Amino acid sequence: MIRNLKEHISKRGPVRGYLLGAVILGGLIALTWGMRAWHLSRLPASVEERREAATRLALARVSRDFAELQGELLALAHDVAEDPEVARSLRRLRSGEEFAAREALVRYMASLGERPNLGVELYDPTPRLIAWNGFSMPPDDAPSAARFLDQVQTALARDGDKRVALVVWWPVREGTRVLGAVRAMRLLYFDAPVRNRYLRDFSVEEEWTRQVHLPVQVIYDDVGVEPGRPGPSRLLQGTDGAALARVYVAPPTPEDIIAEVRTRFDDVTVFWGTLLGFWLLAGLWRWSRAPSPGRPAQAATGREWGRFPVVAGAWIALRFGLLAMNVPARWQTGKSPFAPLFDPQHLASTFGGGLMRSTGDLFVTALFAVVLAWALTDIALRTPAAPPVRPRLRDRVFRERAERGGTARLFLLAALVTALILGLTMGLALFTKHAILDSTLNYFARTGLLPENLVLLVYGALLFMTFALVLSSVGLVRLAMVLLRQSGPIAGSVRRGVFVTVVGIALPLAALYLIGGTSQRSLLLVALAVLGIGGGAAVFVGLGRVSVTSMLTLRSVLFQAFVLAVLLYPLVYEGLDAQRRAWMQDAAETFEEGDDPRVRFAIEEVLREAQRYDLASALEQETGRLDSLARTLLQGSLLASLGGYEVGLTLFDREGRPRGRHLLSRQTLGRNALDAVDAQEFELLRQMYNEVEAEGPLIERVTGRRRRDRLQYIGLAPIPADEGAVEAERSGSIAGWIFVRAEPQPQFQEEHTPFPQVLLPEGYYGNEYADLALAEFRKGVLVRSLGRNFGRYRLPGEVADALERTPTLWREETIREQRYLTYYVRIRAEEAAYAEGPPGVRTRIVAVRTASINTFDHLYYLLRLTVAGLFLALPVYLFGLYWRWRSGLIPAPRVRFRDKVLNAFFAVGIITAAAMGFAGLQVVSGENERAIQSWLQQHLERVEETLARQARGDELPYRVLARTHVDSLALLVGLDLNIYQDARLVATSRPQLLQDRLLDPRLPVTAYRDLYFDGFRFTFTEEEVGTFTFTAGFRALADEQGAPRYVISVPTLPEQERIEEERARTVAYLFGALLLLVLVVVLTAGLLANALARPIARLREGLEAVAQGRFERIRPIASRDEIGELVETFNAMQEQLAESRRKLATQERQLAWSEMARQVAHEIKNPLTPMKLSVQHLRRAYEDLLAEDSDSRKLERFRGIFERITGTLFEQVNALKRIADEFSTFARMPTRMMEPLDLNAVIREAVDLMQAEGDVEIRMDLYPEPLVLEADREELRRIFINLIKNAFQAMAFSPTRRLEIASERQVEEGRAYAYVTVTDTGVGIPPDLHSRIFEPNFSTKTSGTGLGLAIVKKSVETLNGKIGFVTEVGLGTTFWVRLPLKD
Amino acid sequence: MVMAALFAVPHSIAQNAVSGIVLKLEDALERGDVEALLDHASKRIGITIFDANRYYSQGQARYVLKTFFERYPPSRFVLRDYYKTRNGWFAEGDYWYRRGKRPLRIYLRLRWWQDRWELRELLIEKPPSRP
Repeated sequence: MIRNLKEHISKRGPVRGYLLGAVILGGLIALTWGMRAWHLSRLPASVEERREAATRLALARVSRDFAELQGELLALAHDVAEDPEVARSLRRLRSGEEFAAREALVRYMASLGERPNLGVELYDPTPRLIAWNGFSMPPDDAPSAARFLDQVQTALARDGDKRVALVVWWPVREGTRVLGAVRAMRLLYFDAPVRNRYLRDFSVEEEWTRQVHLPVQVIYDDVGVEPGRPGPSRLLQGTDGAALARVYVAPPTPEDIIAEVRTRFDDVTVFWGTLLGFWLLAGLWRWSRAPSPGRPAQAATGREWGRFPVVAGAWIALRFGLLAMNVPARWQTGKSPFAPLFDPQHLASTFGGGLMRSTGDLFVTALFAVVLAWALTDIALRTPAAPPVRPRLRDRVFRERAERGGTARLFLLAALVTALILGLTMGLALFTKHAILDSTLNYFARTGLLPENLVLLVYGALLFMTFALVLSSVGLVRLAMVLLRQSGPIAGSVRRGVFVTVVGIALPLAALYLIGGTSQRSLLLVALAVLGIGGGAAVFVGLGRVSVTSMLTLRSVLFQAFVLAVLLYPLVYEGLDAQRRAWMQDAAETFEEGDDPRVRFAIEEVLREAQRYDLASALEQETGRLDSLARTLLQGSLLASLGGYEVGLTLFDREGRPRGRHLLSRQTLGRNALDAVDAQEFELLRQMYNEVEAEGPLIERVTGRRRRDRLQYIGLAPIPADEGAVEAERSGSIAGWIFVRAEPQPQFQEEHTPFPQVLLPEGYYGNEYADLALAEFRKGVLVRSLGRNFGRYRLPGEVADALERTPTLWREETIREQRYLTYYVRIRAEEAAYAEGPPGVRTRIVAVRTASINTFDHLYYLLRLTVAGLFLALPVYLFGLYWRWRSGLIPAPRVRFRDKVLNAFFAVGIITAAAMGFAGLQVVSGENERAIQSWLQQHLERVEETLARQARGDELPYRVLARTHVDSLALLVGLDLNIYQDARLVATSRPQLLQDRLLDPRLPVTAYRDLYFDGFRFTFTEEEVGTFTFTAGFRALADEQGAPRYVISVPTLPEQERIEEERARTVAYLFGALLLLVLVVVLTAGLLANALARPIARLREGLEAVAQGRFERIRPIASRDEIGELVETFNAMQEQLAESRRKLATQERQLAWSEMARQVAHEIKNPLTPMKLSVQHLRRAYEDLLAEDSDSRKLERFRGIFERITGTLFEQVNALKRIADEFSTFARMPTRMMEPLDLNAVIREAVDLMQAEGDVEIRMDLYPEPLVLEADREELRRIFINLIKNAFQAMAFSPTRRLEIASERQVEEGRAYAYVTVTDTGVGIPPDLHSRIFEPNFSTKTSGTGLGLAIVKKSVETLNGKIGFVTEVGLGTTFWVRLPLKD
Repeated sequence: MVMAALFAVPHSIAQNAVSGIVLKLEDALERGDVEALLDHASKRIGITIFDANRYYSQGQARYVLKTFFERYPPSRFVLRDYYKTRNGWFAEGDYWYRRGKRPLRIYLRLRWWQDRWELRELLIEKPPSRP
């Protein structure tokens, strides 16, 4: 269809084609709408049928899925049971080789590796557990069945109401003999004690609900033939036919069916609508760029500009249209991989009218922005086809003659473009800020090089927007340049033009700075950078120095990604900083409210946990046991882990009398006093309990015991007599009360184990507040704190003073070389609302502190942003690769040397950084692991040493452990402890973890192997609580025979988050340093490549010039290396070549002139002789005539005329002859008669001859001895005659006329020379004529042949001499001649 | 003495006003009216929808609640109770939605902040499912 449309468009013209397409799509919309109406009208008739079908399908799907689960489990059990190693080991076990067989089986199971939610166990036929892998479950019913081990069995294992697992029993046989059995388990249900980012409930029922889109409920007790409740259901059976559970599916309501059908049709309609929108946009785009035959290019682009707002408006409207239709979010629901992109829980903002209402929408908006910016820039770059930018712009801006209004235009354009770019940058800044503030994504996480997927996507979207901003700035600057060109002249001088432009740019920036102050600093910097980049790019693209294809090379794309990241980072950081400050303010507000949510949760946990104990019957007994129970409840609880609190638990009987108590702090009060205080607080809380009709535990804050303004937490729960707590309270049949209190201590005690954050529900100072420390000060004294970073008891004086003046204070503080950002807030008394309390305690200071962002953090975050940019760069580069290949640019015919060097350095930099990053990460992880192991080992050794210290005589530690309570040992060493005996957990300081099924009651198989069979004293394993991974260390306590009797385990559970945070910080530093390294390498590469390539480029230019016949000297290069030498050599060679060429040219010219002179002389001389003879003959004839008639007066007059004319003729003929002779001399030179001559004598002859011709006195200063040389006398004389003649002519108009000729003898390198100078006081020779003075036909005179000096030079050179001159304009010239003397 | 601290509430005017706010919130939940609900919300509001507890900006909270009301269109909201805490009010109610057989439990926490009552937290919990 599309092809047909294309053909139609090409045949019938674009408008009709696009209209046809629009009509087709409109028709499809109408058709779908019609079908929807028709379908919905018929739906009620079939709705019941559909409901049944949907339910049937859902049940079938669930049954199939359950069968698949079983299939996986059967395969696992089969693989283990059929493994020959297992059978062999079980055989050995049967034959009595207990230890060896167990060892082999444990090793085998350890080698299987753990898989989530799966467990495998190996039993002997008893069945006795031999080896295991994965989680453990209580026994199921299968072993009690009569057919146990006869065949494969399926069953359900239940662990109270906490867990349910599907179980497969597979017998291990040898023939008919049963050797043992494999029990494979898969978790079906887990009720997590808390829900946070690590811990979640798990249930196949929820998975099935998501899959079938209908509510699914699995009842594990309902396994009868008939369902136990109404509604569609199906029995879930094992492969052996065992009834395991019943699944119920709630059928969809008729409204659901209708809504689903409606949604399906709506989705299709919206799809057509989306296509229609894009189709119309494509049509508009074609329309806006339609060619205009016959119109000049400028007019065509002018029309495009006119239509551009329409297209841009339509494009923006389409974006909002998609938002209105909820595209593409409406197609990304349920299990779609892109569904999280459109979940507002990650990111959603009302800013932009929905343009960023989810991560996905933000990304789509960014793509729209890029396309719009590209369209703008495309037109802008195509607009001025001619004339070229630079000369015209230069003319316009710097023309001497200013025109009215030109300056104002320049100013306005500069200001307008800057304001527009500033506005767009502000838009980007707002998008960035909202993308961070209106988001729950953790941009601060230091989890590695890659941010989490959604953060990556947000960064990608923002980078696209930054790219759109830069593109727009290129378009806008280009447009301004075009407008500037199309207007008249602008300013009178370069300086003025620059000044006006700078003022125009500065004005909007200054205005924003004045309005926004320093808070806008980042924005201004980014806007200025964008303006600079946009302006530079516009000029370079306009000049043709940058092409789109050159921007798509790998290096260029990577560079652009980095530049975009650098541009965006200040804005991202502004957002991150704002988010961090918002968190801190939030935390301060929450903290100010006084709640330590950990305490509330921990108290609630203790109160709920107490319900598990038979406290009612204990209350009937003596007090001693109640104290022990109270102790049991407190010790090992989360409450015991809280630092900085005095914790107490009191058990009251129904009359309100305290019966049992345990305190986790040193108390100074006696029992009676404690009873009284406890009773008072208990009574208060009981009244409240009744007033609010509380259900379950009630926890409140009341005034403290030690100080009234230091509130404490108290919690109360009833102890039911024989019913549930609520019913017990309602009916009054309660046995007593459990009362827990936690009061902040003024000084924190260290006798507690760390608090595991992983066990807190979400929202209890969860992830967001993990890095924060909070404190409250009253009268300048610390009264409570949370976190580690407040290490002082007093508020700094300057802070207290500052808070007198202002209610809030942000401070960057350096404490022990660590920089922190601290937020202080003064809480007024009326806000805090303390009704009582002594004066002066009403003002409180709440402080929140977090580590400052340092340079490495900045580099790390910048690196993550750059990495996001690289993810975008990759498809852009691939697209560019394809485009360049299509354009024939790949493979490139030539590669510049600079590019090769840069690429090589770049590759080296990247590879080095990647290798270092990888190795660094390995090292950090390895070191981290080693540090954890070392930490665990030290702690376990400390535990053993503690046991050893308590030993009686030679008592071994295991015996001490046997008589030591785990809680007291844990408290003594300040660690969580688990004690195992023969793989079974026999004691733990965290019983709650065991009860919540977060701690498996069995030793991990790998630890068991290491300690029991490999004989190690220490080992460690990776453990998990939900998805939270931590390390556990194990130490065996051996008996007298060296066999492990007990195993002590210390988990890093409470410490793991701190360890992870430290690791993350190290990783951040590592990657920050790596970015720095890459930057340095790239920068060095750039400089080095330029340094290497510049001389080579110059050499290339020089060679090209030589090839073109231009003998230019290369500019000198400040390089001392071989390349510098090469350039120098090239320059020397170049000079020699140029000299040779000059000589060659001179010779050629001389030869040409000689030939011409010979021809001229010949041609002139030929007629001269007959002419002369004719005139002589005429004269003779005339004399003869006079002799005959000498009296005639006429003849006398004729004689006068005749003589005058013939005299003139003679003179002219002689002049011509002289000229011809000179030409002849130059051309020929005449045949030389070489003879030894005294140069001085020849000079004198020349002077004698010339003295008569000029009225200038010629002074001679000749060498006193003869200067003998071998030459042609005539030629030698002519040299000096010509020089003297030249001097006369030069002095023709000089006020002072003096001519000096001097000669001397010189010896150089053993050779004697005659050196003659001819010095005049003439006008001198201007510098621009120096090079031409010896050229033939060159003369400054209007008469003469111009051959004099040329003949002189030629003659001198013929005699192997040299000639030159020294001149000064206005003072005179000295010609020198050097001729070799005869030996 | 202890009672005084326990039941100290910022302003008596505020105490009178809170019941009106709670009723408005009840009405907003009944109608699934996000704007009305957020009219009284703090700048950043804690919203827990089943398991996920997070603090949202008002802008984000608007879409989060809108999505919730789209997925669970309200049919009825019954305020079960509301009572004072040390520096605020806590309200709880049953939220009946169109396709639901059992109501969701919604908790609202209000606090007195800068001279007005603010909705600080909104918790939505599913009825527990046990094996």
